[in-house]
Amino acid sequence: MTTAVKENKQPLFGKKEREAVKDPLWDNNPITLQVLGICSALAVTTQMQTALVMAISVTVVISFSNVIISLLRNLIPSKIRIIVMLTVISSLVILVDQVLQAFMYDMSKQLSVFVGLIITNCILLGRAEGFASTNKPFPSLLDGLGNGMGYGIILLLVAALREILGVGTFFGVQVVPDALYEMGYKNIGLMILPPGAFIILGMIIWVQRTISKKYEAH
Amino acid sequence: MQKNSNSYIFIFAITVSVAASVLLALASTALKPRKQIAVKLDVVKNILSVSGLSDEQIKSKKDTDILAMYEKDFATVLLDRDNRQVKREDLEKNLLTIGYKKEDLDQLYTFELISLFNKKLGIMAGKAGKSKTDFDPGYKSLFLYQPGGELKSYIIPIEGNGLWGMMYGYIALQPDLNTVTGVRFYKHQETPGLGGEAEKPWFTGQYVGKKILSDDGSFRSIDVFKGKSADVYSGDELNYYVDGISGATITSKAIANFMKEDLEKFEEYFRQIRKGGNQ
Repeated sequence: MTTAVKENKQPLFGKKEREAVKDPLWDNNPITLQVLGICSALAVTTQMQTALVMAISVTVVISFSNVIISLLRNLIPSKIRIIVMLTVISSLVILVDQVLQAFMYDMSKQLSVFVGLIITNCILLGRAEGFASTNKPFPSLLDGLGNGMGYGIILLLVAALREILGVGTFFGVQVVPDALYEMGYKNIGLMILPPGAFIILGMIIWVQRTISKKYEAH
Repeated sequence: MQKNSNSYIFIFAITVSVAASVLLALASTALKPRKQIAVKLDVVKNILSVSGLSDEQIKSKKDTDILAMYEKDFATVLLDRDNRQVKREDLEKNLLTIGYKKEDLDQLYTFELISLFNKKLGIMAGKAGKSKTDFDPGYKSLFLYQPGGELKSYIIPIEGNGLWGMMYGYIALQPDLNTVTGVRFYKHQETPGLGGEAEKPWFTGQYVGKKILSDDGSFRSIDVFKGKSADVYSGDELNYYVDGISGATITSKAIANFMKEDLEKFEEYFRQIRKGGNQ
C-alpha cells in the first residue's frame, strides 16, 4: 500500500511499477493465491475462446475501474466508498457487455450472464479497495493490468486443459489425433462439467503454491 | 464542505449516479443500431447455413453482402393459425395500431416484425386482462430460399425445451417437402461436449437427406436413436433416424420431440402445397 511515486524523479517503470504488474502474475496471483474470482473461472472455462474473451473483458474493466477510482480517491467519502466503487465497476461492465453485444454477438451469446457477473468478481472490488483507493492513477492502471492478466492466465490454463482433455480441441481445432481415438482413447466428459473445473483449478493451485513456496500462514 | 458531512456525501452520490447513467444511456443509444444489425445478421447467417452454405463460405462474406443476399434470395411466408397466408401489410397494420411508427417498421424484415408482434402480444393481453391465446392469431413463419427465383428449400424454425433451457434452430426441407436439406441449432444452453454436441456438424449433418414422410405419405418426422441407428435398422427405415448423442439422452429426445411438434404445425400447409404441386 505504500507505493509513493515521486513524480518527475522516478522513471516511468520503476521497481514498484514493475512489481505492480509482475506480482499478481505469479507471487500474488488473484486466483491461485488470493482465491478470488473463482466463480467465473469455473463457468467460462469449457472453451479457450470464451475464456480469452472473458480474460480480456476483466482486464479492461479492472484497469479502467482502477484508474477511475484512483482519480477519485481523494473525493470519495469513506462512508460510501464501496458503493461508489461498485457503481464505477458495474457501469464499466455494462459498457463492455454492450460493446460485446454490438460487435461480437456470437460471443456475447455464449458468455451470456457471465459478463454481467464480472461485477461481482471479487478481484475488481479487491483491487479498487486494496490498491486504487490509496495509489496514484498510473500505478493503479498497472496493478489493474497485472491482476487482470494474472486472472486471465489461470483462466486460459484451466480452459486449455478442459478443452483439450474434455473435447479434444484447442480454440475449436481438433488437437487430439484421430489415431489416438482409434486406439480406444476417449474424451474425459467430466472435464467439461463443473466438477472438472474444480479438480483442475485445485491442481493448478497446488502446483503453483508448491513451486512458488507461498502458503497461507497457519 | 466537510468530506464526511451528509450534504457532501449526498452531492457526491448524486453526481456519480447521474454521470454513470448518462454514460450508459449514451452508450446504449449509440450502439443500438449496431446491436440490431448484429441480431439480424445472426438470424440471417443461421438461415443461410441451414440452407446449405458452409461456415467458411459465410465467414468469407462481408456483413453487408450477407444481408443483401438475404434480401435477394429469401422470402418469409407468414401464416396464421388456420394456415392461411398473411400479408406483411396486415401484420404491419396490426403493429401500427399498437403504436409503432411506420418508418420504424419499414426498416425491418418480416421475421423481425413477427417477433415484435409476439412480444407485444403478452403486454396487450395483460392490459385487457385476457390470456395470451385469446389475442394470439397463432402467427408462424417459414423462410423460402429461392436463389434466382427458383425455389430451393423451405426453412422452418424449430424450438423447444432441452435439458437446461430452450433450444432454437432451423430445419430446411427440399421443395418436395419431405427430404431434409439441413438442420442447425443456433442457441441453446446444453452442456458443452454432451448435449451441446447438438450444434456440431457431426450431429446436424446426419439429418441431410433424411425424410419426414413415411412411404404412404403420412407425416412421421425424424427420431433420434439412442446409440447407432444402423445397428438396428436398415434400408429405407434409416431415413427416419439419426444417431443420438451419447451422454445426452434427454437432449436427444427433446430434439426429436420438438422437431416433430414444430414440423407438424406446418404439415397441413405443406399438404396443400404438395397436392397443388410445387409452387
